[in-house]
Amino acid sequence: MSTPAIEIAALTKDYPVGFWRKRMRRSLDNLTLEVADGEVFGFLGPNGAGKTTTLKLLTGLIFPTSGTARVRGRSIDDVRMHREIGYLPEQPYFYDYLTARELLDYYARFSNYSATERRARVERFLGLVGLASAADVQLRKFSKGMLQRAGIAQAILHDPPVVFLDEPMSGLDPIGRREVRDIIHDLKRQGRTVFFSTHILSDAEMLCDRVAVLAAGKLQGVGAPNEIVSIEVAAMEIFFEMPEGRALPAALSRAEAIGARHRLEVPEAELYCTLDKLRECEARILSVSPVRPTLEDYFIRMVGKEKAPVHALEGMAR
Amino acid sequence: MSRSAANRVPWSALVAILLLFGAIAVLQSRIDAQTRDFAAQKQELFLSSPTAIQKLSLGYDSLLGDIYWTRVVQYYGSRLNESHRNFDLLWPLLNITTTLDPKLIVAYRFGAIFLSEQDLGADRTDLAVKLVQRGIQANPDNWRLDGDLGFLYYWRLKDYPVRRHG
Amino acid sequence: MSAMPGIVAINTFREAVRDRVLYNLVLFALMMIGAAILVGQISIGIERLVIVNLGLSAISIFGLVMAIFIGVGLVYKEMEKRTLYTLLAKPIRRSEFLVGKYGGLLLTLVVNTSFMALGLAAALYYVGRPFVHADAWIPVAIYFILLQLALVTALALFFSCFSSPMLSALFTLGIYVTGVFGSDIREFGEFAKSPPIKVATRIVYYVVPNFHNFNVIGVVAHGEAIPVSLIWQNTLYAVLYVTLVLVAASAVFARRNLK
Repeated sequence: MSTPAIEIAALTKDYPVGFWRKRMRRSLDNLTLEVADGEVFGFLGPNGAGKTTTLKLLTGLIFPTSGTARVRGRSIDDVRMHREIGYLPEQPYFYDYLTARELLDYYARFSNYSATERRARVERFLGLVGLASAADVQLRKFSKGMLQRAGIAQAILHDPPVVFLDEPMSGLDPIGRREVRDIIHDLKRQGRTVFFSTHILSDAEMLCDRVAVLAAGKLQGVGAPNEIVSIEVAAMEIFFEMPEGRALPAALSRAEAIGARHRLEVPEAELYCTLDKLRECEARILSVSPVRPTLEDYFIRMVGKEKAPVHALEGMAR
Repeated sequence: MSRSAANRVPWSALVAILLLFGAIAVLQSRIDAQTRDFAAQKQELFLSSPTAIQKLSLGYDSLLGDIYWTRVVQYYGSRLNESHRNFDLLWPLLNITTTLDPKLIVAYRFGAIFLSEQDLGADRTDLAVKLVQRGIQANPDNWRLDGDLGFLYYWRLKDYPVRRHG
Repeated sequence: MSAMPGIVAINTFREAVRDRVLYNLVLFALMMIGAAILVGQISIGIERLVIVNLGLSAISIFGLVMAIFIGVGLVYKEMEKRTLYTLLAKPIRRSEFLVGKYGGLLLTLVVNTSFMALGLAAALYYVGRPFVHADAWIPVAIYFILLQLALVTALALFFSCFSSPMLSALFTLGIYVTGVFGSDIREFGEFAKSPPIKVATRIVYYVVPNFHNFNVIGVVAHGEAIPVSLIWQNTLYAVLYVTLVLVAASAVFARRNLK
């Protein structure tokens, strides 16, 4: 059994809050977790759950109140550990007077590459994240999506075995998101460990070997996606259009009208007979898709509480 | 916004500003004309303590000494043109100048002459002697100041015995 | 120490170079030196004195402004703007980062001071006098100004690690002014009656950097020599004090939680 890529043991973080900074707010509570080598691991949770806190603890930006963690066998206190990790922070900021190429070149210097190799890498990764045409534009002129791409590039530029991504899909359009998904797939194919946080369920389902769910600073559950966020599809949603001149049949009166179209939600068991009714009145089916419960619903079910947790812990602690 | 609109010079604003400046200039010269008499009377030193000024100079005393020397020259020149020549501030200014920069020989020499001068100076030979003696103390190698001291004793004070030993 | 500080230093230098404010400051200083020529002409008999005085003072003042202005933002800006996040995830120690930022600003100051010094040389040349032997001490005065700037920069960097630019600037300026008055404070203590004040002023005198040591503008303006021993002593003083401040800054920054 090889060393786990990431081992977290009872990691806890308290922030002093209040005007006199006397009271403590527990932002992360005794997190214990292991991520195997080569896994793509999703870290799920609503905003303020402690995901970013965990990532900042692992990358040495903040220091734990108690508990330890190791990455590739090295403690998070060890600066040499940083040679083997790449990090994309949430809402990355960079030196806006640099161009994309200069930024990547700067970061690449922290690894031992020869000048030619560094140049080659910078070009390659600029292309990989789709910034080749904007390589010589100053970062201050970049859109959020472009900054995100630059951030991903600097995180994987030096081929780190472990990659930490905080909300990698945020700020990207659908094309960008697919590109990032492809990049993560690629990283997995190369045998790297990817640890990324997100609050978007479908991304986690598509990409992750395992996920952990965090809420209010506590670990709620760990397992394969279909165990945790198992699709109990609540209902099916049908979009359809009635042909010219035809009125909605009485049986389908529950459908809500949205302009010329209609939306109808039916339990999964009734899907096929509803479709039959629609066929009888020659309605044009536009789409049929499952209505997925939101992440909050899962938490409510899992945690068994009435209201969804949190209230921007991390935001307050700042 | 079209390109022409963005590049259009705000002519009306410029003209207004020029006119206003003109009006202000005219008004200012009127004010100056009225207060010229007042200004002539009260040229003051806001700070008269040399040590205070030296402290305030934050280490740039040599530069400040030069500036005060410039004031000395201007003060003297402006007083020369007036009918009632009053050189009261000459000593304080020279005092400050030499405190700030004790090596400013030209100030001592100037003071030797114009502090002791009757009509064209402050007519205070005692202060002139005091200044030059201070200058000699700060610049022992400068023989010209010794000469100036001798001049003061010989010509002004007619104090021959001292001159012989000076 | 590794090459890490050097990487950060070059980048810090590059940032300063691309900051337009710096050019304006250097331009102002050059203008002041140009003005020195004019002032020299109305100050009878002391043209060279005025040019050197005004020129060196301009270099000193503008250097101070630059050191404080940029210094107080060195670390604070990176923390505020979170550019530090990705940087500290790299294999660089926090102390190496600080040394790098310091080195970058120091390099910027050296380059700017050199430009201003060239301006001063041009001004002296312009008023038509060939350089005399006494002028040899002007570079020493400039070197001392640089040592002062090195100290001020270190202080500004230190404060930048934990307080906002405005407060850092006030603290740094406060220490600078106290340092200029160092000997006065000690004298005051010697004349004072109460022992606590005596002790306190003594402590202040030794703790606060004594900027008065470095001020030779007046001496050089009059063409006098600077004792060589002073050059070595001042250099050593600056090195020791800067090391002290950087160590303190590292200690403060080492366990700071980044927001």
